[in-house]
Amino acid sequence: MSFFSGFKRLTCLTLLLSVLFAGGFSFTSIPVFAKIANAEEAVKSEGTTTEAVKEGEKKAEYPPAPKLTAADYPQIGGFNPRVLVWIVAQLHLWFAAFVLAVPIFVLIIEAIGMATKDQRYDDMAYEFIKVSMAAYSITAIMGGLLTFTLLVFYPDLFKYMSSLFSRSMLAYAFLFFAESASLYVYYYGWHWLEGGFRKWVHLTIGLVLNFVGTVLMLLANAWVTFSMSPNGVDPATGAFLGSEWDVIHNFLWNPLNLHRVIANIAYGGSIIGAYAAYKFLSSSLKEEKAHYDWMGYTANVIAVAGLLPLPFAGYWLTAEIYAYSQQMGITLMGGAFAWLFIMQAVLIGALFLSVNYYLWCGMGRSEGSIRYTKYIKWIAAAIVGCFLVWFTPHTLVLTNQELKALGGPYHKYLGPLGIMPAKNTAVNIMIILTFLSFTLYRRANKIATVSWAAAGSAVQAAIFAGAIGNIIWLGVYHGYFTNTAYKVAASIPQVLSTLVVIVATLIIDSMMFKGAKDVGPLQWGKIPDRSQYALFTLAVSFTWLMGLMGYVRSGIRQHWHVNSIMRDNSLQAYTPTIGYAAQIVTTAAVIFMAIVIFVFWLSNISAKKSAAH
Amino acid sequence: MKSFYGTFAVALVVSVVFFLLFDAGLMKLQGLSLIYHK
Repeated sequence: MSFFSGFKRLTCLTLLLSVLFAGGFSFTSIPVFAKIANAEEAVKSEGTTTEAVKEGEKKAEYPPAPKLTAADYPQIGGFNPRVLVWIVAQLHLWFAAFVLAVPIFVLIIEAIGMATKDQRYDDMAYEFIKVSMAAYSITAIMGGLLTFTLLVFYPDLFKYMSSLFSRSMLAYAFLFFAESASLYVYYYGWHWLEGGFRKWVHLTIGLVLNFVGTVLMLLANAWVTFSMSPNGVDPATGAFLGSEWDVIHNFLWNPLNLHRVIANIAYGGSIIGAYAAYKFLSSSLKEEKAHYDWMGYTANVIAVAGLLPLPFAGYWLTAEIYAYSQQMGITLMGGAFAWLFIMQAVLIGALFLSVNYYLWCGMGRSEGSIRYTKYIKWIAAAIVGCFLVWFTPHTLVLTNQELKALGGPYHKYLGPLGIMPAKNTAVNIMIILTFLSFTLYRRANKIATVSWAAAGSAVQAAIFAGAIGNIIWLGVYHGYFTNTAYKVAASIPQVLSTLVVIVATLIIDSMMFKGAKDVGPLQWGKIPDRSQYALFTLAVSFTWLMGLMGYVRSGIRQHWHVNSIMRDNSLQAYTPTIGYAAQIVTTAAVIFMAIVIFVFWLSNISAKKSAAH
Repeated sequence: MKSFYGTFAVALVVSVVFFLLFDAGLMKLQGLSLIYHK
């Protein structure tokens, strides 16, 4: 009873206080409290004033993001600022991706050459880095051009960004010197630092070069991702909050970092592969053809090593974009940019088909491949099937007549293939089958000598079959008979099933082919010329893909320079049509390819001069 | 060849069981069960 009466009193008091406060009552209106409050306020106000002054100083030190009008964007000549900056930035990115990736695998190949004492690896690594040298200068030129075009056409944006990233931009400039110095010592000191301890010094320089290059890329990535998912600034005004690390370490920074590191390796491999193909086709000497065939094969392996995990890194980046802003995510894959993903799917499919085709052609280097060629048609059919699922759109672009005939924008049977679980299933199987092609290629010239070779192959086949069955089961059951949480969650075991296949096969292969006999010497150079066009397709598809998807990544900010912080009020602050965007990217890709051919030609004449001497 | 198919059949059963347990574990880690419950 007493509890309830106490409870009632407390409730009444609470209600009374609520009413009093709601009515604007203040304890300070009671004289006794007024004195205490005045004394407290005197102390508080002193503190508040100090805080306010500090806050004011901080605000003065860090101004808000500028609010621009069309007049704030200089118009010079007949240039379209957006198109100019777009093309220059894209060219810079392509070259940067290439020159950052090449030293990574050059270092690995050089280390393999050192460990195996096989001079061929060292020679090939040197040739790789030689190709990237001219590209390095072009990267720097494009970087300078990008900075100037931004300064000239977007001065307020550049000022705002450089005020936020002041330290990291300075660090970038100094690191660029370190990058150049280590690259030049690495390249020009290649023959000087040969053998014994000197080789270790050379490898260490290569390691420094890669470290500095990676840090440079991470810093530049921070500028890019800040514009998508700003952090470390006042969300209302865009004023810097004082921590540059917070600005750098924004929400999308790490997903983009991972995606770019992997993509750069795949891209670098593909460009070097194109170089090797160019040299292979233009060589008439048998030895030269053999050398460039081997170089093309190695470059293709590097490209595949990057390509296989790339869809997963892309998936993570996209999932994080959705997690950061659903609106941005929907614009990305369900809105204005969705059709570019269909183009992306076609290009990725082309990449997988090119890689497989090259591997199948390459099996001709060994007489032993006859044991496996019968499987190629089945692998090809399955990859083509996955490819068709992979690029089937969810919603079709139709005329009114077609819409009426179909009864809606979704096709009765093909529509369900347009959702992500179908895509995840298709891409995982494509990756597994590509890995199968690679496995068959590797064993084409080998005869296992261990007693359990047949059992080992049977276990491997069972792992492949089990994983493919599992991926299909997860995709169909969780994709079509559960809710969204299950659909998304099921993509994790799908990806990891693929990984299990790759790891388990490599482990079994390494044990099974220990001490294996060769069918015969691999006949490098004995590969049809048409296979080399697969290497060209790889390089062109990668380039185009990076351009198109780079546009999508940047374009989902729509009318913002910095998403939700700094509005783009230039005359070009609109989302162009997909056709227009594709034309710009294609133009940039053609310019890039023309410069790359020039770089290849430079390497060629340099080699001719060396040979003459 | 006979032993190949025999080993394959046994390994396939093991592989399927492994992947089902693998899926169940990964789904559980995400707070979900392997079989969908409304």
